[in-house]
Amino acid sequence: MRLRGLAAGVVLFAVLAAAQVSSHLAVQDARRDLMWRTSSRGVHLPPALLRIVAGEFKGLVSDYLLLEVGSFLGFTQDISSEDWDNVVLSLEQCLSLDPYFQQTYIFVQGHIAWEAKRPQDALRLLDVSRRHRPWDWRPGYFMGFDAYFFLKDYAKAAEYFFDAAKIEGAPVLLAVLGGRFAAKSGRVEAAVALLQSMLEEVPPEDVLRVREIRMRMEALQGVAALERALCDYIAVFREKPNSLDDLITSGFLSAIPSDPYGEGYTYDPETGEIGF
Amino acid sequence: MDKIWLLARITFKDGIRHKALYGIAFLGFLLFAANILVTGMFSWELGKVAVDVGLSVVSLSGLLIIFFLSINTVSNDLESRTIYMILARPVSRAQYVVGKYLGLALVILASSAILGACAAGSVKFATFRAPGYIPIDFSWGTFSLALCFLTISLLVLAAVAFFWVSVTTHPFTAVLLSLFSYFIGQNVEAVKTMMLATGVLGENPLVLRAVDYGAWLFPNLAAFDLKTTAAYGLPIDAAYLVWLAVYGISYIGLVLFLTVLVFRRRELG
Repeated sequence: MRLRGLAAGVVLFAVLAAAQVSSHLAVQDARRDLMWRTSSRGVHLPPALLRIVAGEFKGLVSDYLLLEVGSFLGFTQDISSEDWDNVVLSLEQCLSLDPYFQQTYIFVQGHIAWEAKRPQDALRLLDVSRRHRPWDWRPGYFMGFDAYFFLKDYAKAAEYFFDAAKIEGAPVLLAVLGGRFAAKSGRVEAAVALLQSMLEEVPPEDVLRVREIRMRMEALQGVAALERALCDYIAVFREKPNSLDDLITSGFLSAIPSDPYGEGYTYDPETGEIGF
Repeated sequence: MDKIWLLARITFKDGIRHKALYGIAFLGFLLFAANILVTGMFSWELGKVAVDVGLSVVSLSGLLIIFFLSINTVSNDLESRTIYMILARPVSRAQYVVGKYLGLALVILASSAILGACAAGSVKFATFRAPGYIPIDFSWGTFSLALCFLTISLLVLAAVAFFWVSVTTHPFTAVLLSLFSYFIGQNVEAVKTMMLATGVLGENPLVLRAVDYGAWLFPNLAAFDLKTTAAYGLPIDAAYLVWLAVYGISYIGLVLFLTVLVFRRRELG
């Protein structure tokens, strides 16, 4: 009797174990393709409400959402416009929960600006990081880049680059870029004044930085002189000159200012734009 | 005072012998191990993620202690009638309440100290391989401050839980009311700000007043949450911290006072 009971127990265990192993493998197989998130739908709550739900675990929830976004973007080839809406919402939620995290703005720049080609969304989200990380020049740098590269808004690009350039430890390139875009947007005098104020704050022993700023100021001053002469020329002749040399031959300029970069100034007779 | 201290010591010893505490400690250690794994999934400011996870685990473990250990300890005294043995001795109900609370506060303090040290260890370990990926202003001083204020918030919540145990007749009701108080305490400030900023629920002065009263009645637990400050080493005003500590300690005192009043009038048995 005991032997029969034991045998029944062993058989029952074997059946259950076999069922468990086979079902485990079947489930694992069926879910293999679902291991990573295939939907962009995160937590569909307004960011402010999510802050309330997350309570004191805001940082943790933000980290989790960011991982979700990362896994979706990393494992999805064709991302639809609706998916990008969801990704933007998730990143907005991340920034609402933790506006300081560096990885969030790196994601915004890499995916929203570049991949999704949504510079306006990227600028809005990057601005949150920029305001909360006054020690970090990168969010402002990315904003300047997006304004220039995607939106062709040179005035805004100059503003972002100059703001970022004022942050301690920012590369001198930012001031240089700010100057270039200020010139392109017709704010040369303002750019020179801003570079001058930045130069006063740079320690003289930082030779490279001082040299870069001085060169950019010199180039901008050259542009300013050319623009003044160009304005006078147009006021007199009611038309744009064909070349910069016309400014000299007509007596508005004694010589073309020297370009510190050695390339010479460029002039477009159609638009009247002076560059370097 | 001796009687209060004696009761506190007994409660502390009883608390640390409780099997639930071992489970909570095990969960804590497990989550710290997970911290190293989670941190590895990020590529920027790993230190921030490690601090997030570390301090959240301390907080979560503290909450579990309050909801599963503190409330049960007192309600067990009431249900198993061991409270008669205590009150039959020359111990007043006020001494019982304060002694019991202090004992449980010691358990919370010990848990925060041990898990806090583990959290610091896990942060150090998780960021060991990538020292360049720690937020630039991160400091252990701010981390310790965040841990301190996190512990104060747990002590405030424990006092509130004590109050609910003294008011209700069943531990489950006390757990529910304590959870309710926790959620209100975490969010009342955010709800109020959101209502005022966005006009949600309209401009109804009654609702606004109710939220305002709620903000006075329930502890503002969100104010003690300095995890983000610790994660990034954000600047923090010393005067604010002093006021926050005074706010927490005075709230605990007031709630214990009310608990004693209610407990004195409570019919035992």
